[in-house]
Amino acid sequence: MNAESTLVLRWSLLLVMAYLIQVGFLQDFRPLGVHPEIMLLLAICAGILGGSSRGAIVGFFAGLLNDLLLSGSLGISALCFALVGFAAGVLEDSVIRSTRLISMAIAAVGSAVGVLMYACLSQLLGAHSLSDPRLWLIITIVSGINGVLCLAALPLCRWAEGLGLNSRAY
Amino acid sequence: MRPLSQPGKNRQRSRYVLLVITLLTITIITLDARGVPMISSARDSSRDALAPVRSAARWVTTPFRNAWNGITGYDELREENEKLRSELGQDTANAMRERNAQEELAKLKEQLNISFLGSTQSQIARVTSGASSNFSDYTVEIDKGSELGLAVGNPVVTKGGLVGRIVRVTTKRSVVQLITDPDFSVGVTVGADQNQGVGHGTGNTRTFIVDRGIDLTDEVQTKDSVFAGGIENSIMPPDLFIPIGTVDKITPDEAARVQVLQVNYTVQFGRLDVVQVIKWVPAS
Repeated sequence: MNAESTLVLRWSLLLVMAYLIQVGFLQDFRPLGVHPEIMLLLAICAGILGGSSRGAIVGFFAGLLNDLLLSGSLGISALCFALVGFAAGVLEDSVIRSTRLISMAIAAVGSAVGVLMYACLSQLLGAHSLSDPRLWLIITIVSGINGVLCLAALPLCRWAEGLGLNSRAY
Repeated sequence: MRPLSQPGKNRQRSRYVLLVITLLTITIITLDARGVPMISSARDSSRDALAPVRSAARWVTTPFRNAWNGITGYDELREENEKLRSELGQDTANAMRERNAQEELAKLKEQLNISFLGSTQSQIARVTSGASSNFSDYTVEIDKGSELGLAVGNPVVTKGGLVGRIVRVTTKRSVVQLITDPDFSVGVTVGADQNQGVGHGTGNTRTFIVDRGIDLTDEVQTKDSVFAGGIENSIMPPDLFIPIGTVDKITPDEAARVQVLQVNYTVQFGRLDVVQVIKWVPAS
């Protein structure tokens, strides 16, 4: 198996695992009524470790899987996650020396932007997300949890990226 | 840190990838919004295929979810625990299992004996999951689909009254738009005089608003019953009177020359479990 196929296989496995955790457990893990969005987190981590194109591609597929869970239009999460994954890669590139704290900050800010972008696009397509009175609570909790969870997600993404679990790359 | 490689070429490739993905997603969103059958059927097939995976994942993670629910509902759990302890002396495990089965049976029987349904064809279904989005979703998923004759537009009820209507159907599952959705509008009949108006959800699970059609001169009182149906060309069956709730507050709107009715639901949306789908579709 060549390196490209291994990369695709590893990322696919990670996406499926994340999806199962999201639907199996995290949908009911709702601090203050808000659940974490680990599919969005995966897109951001892919951007941080694999660069902007990897972030966009992983974000697209993670978003598509996420859309299948929701009753809104198909493709909204895919677009938002892809854009956020891409932006995470660009941000990481602009950092001279990456640290764990910077990665956490990128994950938190990226999650906030991703949720806000999702709310805007959904509103454009007829939902009431942007006018949801809990919008800022959702953004705060999702970005906070994702900021912390990125410490666990980054080593897994490093494995998928072929950088090794113990690599010091953030 | 990622290995460094020709930054200019990489940047160009990244932009190309982003452009392709953006165009692809915009195409998917547009096709889905226009209801193109290919996209809908692909989505429905994927949902059907993923349904057992989701069920399996939920089954595997039951102990973790229970633990989490135990942490977040500690007070309730402690109360329940005390109650169970006092019951333990009286009941054997078998008797408890039997009681559970009887409760389950009672729930199903309750749905079989819905008085307002008459002889209308219907299908019992179970709510499998609530809203998956963090944002207000106003939908639930039920475990029956088109293979049992369910279709988009079918009203969904419980013994308490109207729950919503089916908005998406796959072979094995259906998505129900709840009446609590602010976008859910339905023709209603109010009180003994059968005044007709139009009402909609408000986003919460307590109040339904009737703000069209009830003139200032119409006789309406608090505690009057509000029904969906009984109206021709409605999204609900014209020959059925499905309860929605009772009038709690009446406010005259002098500008619009109507009475605005605040209605309390008779259905308890927090406890939706077994529902009944009426096999009837609106004419249009």
